[in-house]
Amino acid sequence: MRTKKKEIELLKKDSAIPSDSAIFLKNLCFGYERTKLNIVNANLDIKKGQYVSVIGHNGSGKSTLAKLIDGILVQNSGDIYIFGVKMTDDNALLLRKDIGLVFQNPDSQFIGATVRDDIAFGLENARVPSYEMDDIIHDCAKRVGMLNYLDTEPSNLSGGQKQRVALAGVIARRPKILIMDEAGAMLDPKGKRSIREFIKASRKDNPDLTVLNITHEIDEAYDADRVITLNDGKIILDGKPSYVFSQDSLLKSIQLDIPFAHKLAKDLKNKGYDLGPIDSDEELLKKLCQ
Amino acid sequence: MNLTLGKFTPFNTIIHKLDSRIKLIALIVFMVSVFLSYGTPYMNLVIYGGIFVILLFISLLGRVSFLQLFKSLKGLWFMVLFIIVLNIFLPGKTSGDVAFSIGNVKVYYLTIINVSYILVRLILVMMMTNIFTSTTKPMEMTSALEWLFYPFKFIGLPIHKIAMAISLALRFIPTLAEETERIMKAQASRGVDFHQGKIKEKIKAIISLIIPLFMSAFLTSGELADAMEARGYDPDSKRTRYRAYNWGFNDTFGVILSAAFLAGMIVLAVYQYDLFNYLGISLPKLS
Amino acid sequence: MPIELKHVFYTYDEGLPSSREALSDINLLFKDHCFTALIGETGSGKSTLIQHLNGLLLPTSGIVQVNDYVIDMTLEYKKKHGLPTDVINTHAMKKKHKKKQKDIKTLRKRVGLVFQFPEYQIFEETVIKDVSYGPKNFGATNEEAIASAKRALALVGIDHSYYERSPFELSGGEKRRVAIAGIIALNPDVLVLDEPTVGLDAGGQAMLMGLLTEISRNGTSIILATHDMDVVLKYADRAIVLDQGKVISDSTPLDLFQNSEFLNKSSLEPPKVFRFALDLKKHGLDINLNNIKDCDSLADEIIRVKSGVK
Repeated sequence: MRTKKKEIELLKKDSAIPSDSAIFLKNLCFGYERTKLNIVNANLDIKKGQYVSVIGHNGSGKSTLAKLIDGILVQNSGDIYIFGVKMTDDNALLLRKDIGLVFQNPDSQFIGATVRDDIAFGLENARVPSYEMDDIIHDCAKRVGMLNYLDTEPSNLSGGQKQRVALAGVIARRPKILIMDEAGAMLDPKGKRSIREFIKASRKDNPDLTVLNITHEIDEAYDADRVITLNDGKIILDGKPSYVFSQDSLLKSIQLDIPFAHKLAKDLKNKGYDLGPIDSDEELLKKLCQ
Repeated sequence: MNLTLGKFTPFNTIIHKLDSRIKLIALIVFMVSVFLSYGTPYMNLVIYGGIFVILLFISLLGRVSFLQLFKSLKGLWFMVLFIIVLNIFLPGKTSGDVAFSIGNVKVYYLTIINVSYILVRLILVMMMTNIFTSTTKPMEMTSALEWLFYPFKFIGLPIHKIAMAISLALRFIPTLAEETERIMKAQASRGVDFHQGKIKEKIKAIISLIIPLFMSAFLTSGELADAMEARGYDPDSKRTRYRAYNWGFNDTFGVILSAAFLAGMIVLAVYQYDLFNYLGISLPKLS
Repeated sequence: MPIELKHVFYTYDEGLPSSREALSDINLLFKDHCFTALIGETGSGKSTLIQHLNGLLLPTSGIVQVNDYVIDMTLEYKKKHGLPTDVINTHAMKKKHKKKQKDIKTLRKRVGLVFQFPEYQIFEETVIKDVSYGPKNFGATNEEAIASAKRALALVGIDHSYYERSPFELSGGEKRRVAIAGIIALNPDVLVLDEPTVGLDAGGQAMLMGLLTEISRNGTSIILATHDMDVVLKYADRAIVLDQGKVISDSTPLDLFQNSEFLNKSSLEPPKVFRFALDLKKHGLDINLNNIKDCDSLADEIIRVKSGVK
């Protein structure tokens, strides 16, 4: 049983970390096996309220990074600071309370026997009193449009519906940091759109929410304030979407797609029709139709 | 694909609505009373008969299907035959009169009585378990067991972790069943025939099903563990409980009844109270 | 090798309270040497339809004909062969019928079906063993099977250094290619794939579609269930849209994406490339939509128009 005093001690902020930092990574290294590093010297400062997209080829370390930040994996070396507090074995669980992580497989993250029980799982872990749970469950289910399915078992739900329940579960914990690990990868276009809408709606409800969205959908990546590109465990690009996606030759060399407007502009340029730097579909349309 | 686990029948009877803990306790009470001995064989007959009537009544209240019961009993015919044969040829302590003979094997009245006890107890135990599984959801059963085994926590048994593991297993059974079907179809598309073929081929066919299934199960459990941790699960720390028990008047009534019943049975067993003697009825001696 | 479905209906859990009709009066003819895209959300009946193409599912009623092999579940046939004509319990009868149905297995050799996440069907100790498993099931000798396997692996870009490795040590993308090779090794006339690119990154997707294009060029018909409209536009010559068990659209991708009335009602969105081309056309550029397959061809078209204007 931890005392309040011990908890305060465990959550002491490190003064060297900027006060507006939500996630701070310092020289982070991690490998699943002894022979190879999956995250190589990651340095990152994600500010409170930022919406960051993370892109990279399969196996580049995106999910690994997400799990390290959530404290599910323990790094080989380097430090992780959540809101300025250094993550240790003793405080990882406490820090995790502020972080919501949604995975891509709708089935293997559905824990409860019914929708109701699944949303309740997170509440039980957070030791919410049982008499408060029904209201929270009702509210969260309503917000993701699953209110009519509260007593449905997962085997009677589609992938998209199960994923919405996962989102409800995350809302219920009211995290300050939301990490989506390719949450729409196994869904149909409608499902993918709902994930994108969910992020937008969450940020609207809570402007201080820090979002880390790992995705393969380039258009979705473009929604963000900032794009981080991983390749073989290293962060090779970190900046505004317009900057990152202008690095088209680099992105192509690491097997990544670029947004449509950039791609078309580049193809036109290669065929001798140079329109200069293009940042959006609208800009491209205007320039072509002059 | 809708898979109803065990024999749970989704009705809304008074028995269904009872707290699963009281049902578990009642089950244990009945089992104990069925294995006690009440003096004379006739008393046993009366008591077992009485228990049978009570169980019948509860079954009707709970809309329990007898079809299920017959099916399970039918499945046990071999075991029953085995018990009868075993007892005839190896009767253990033999005394009293011989009922009849098969060749030069003597069948004593005592043997017949003992075998009857075994069969009657079997039927009664199956009846009560059938009632329990028909009226209690698997999750509720797990909760009741978790509550019952709570004291074992103090001798080091990780009760809550075991209960969590059981609930997760229950949750994933339909999912694994679907996965099995998917794998079977994928292998069928590669020409695997699960029905025909030589033994060697059939074994290969089963391997082509089991290995992917195991791989899938392991992968799923890894992802599940991550998901549980991400939702703040800590197996070692205390958690609140969403599905709080709903203790009602019926449950208190049930406890009192069960306690009274058990007390009554124990008294009868200990004092070997003979109803027939009391009534002055004289019956042939059987042993 | 043409595949035809005539008045095909399929109901799951027939006769039970949970029964639901997954396919309703499907009439489709898949011609030889075609690249067909099958579009539909979860629950549209896409997977059910696919499983009828290689005999994994038999229709509740209707006819499925693959070349000269006929699966006839129409009422007349049922009457003729003493099968029950009422709805209840045709499933049990179907099983008997399946056994009577000669060599439905041969169907599975001619129509190769690749499920979603096919890497989950891998089970052998080595790559070469797993890929040659399929051919062996259809009567190939060990040598023949291995030869087919090697051919298939070459096609999916897996070289000989992988042959003796355990498939379980490969990456996700490599495993998928091995699994697909396992079906290609059967040398089917028609290859049916259920969303083969899901979960792959851009590089993996490009590689897979390149592979399918090559297979298609070699004469194999491709039927591809997909959500990716870019793929439909670039590769398919026919787009069939399913909704609630019915075919609600069957045309070329171009006609589908130009049918704004239809698109508004459904939840389908044409690919970005096409929408942009339409915008350009709206703003006065004389874009010939027939020439638009992907970004590259759009660039060509824009330059053609612009230089013409000059």
